[in-house]
Amino acid sequence: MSDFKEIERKTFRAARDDGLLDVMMAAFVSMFALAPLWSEALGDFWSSAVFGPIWFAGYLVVRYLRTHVVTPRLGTLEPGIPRQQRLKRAGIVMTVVLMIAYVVGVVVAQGFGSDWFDLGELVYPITLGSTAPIVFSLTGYSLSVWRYYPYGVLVAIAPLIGEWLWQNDLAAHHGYPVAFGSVAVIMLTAGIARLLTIIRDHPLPANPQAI
Amino acid sequence: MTQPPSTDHFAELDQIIHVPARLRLMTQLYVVESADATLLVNTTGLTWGNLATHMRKLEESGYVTIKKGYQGRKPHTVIALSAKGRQAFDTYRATMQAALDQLPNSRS
Repeated sequence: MSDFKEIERKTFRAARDDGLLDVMMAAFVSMFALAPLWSEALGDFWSSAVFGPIWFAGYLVVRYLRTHVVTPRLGTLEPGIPRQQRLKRAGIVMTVVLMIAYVVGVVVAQGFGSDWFDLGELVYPITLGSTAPIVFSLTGYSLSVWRYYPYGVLVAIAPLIGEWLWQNDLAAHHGYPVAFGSVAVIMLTAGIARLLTIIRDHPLPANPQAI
Repeated sequence: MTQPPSTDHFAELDQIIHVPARLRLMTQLYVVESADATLLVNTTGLTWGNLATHMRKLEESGYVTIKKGYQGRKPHTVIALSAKGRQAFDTYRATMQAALDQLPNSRS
């Protein structure tokens, strides 16, 4: 039975592991790198909020690439029932974890400056350190893509490394631009490398679907 | 003198599935709900011509259902194992397992 699981994993990855999710993840992580740089010009709110339309544009590009570049080369599938259940379970757990992180973030942000709840600069490390490994691991588990696990670890330790760089006067803005920027570049590089490998190894069929 | 092992189980193997290319296709389709022709070409290493030939055979046997449509302006073929095909594959696996189990462990 385990052999069938391995065949299923390979088949699923053959259709779905296209590197585009890595690109979207890199776009998400880049917010933590760029927002501190833009905050002086745009303010705290808009330096993050501006990523809404940027992500949406990125999503449209990714969707176009998936439809016009990846799918004609890799093909598509409807996963088996066990995989569908796994995706559903992971989605539910991920939603709950993100909602908890969101609520904690809002509560902590509202407590800024107060005597009773001044976590201040620990908000990002705590939230990301606990959320990122779970979310990235769930993604890796549900899609059977191993490289998402180290992504979670990288995102979790990035604020700690950034903080260390900042405290040693090696980087500005708590080191976030350097630390998260590096993680985003790693994700982007891996994603684009995967995408280019697909384009190289899977030329468009001359007479597609001709059966 | 010991009797040679029976090969009855091998004779019972479903010859539609037993062809290596079709066995690969059936295995791929067994682990998903459905897949399109491009994915099957990629995962099995068959050519488009071979895929078409073997799919026709499997369709004639009622083991797969083939839905032809369009994705945008391009033709798109989605293939799924039918209930009969899934049952036949389970039977094939059980028969093959029984056939292998009756073989001696070594030549001595």
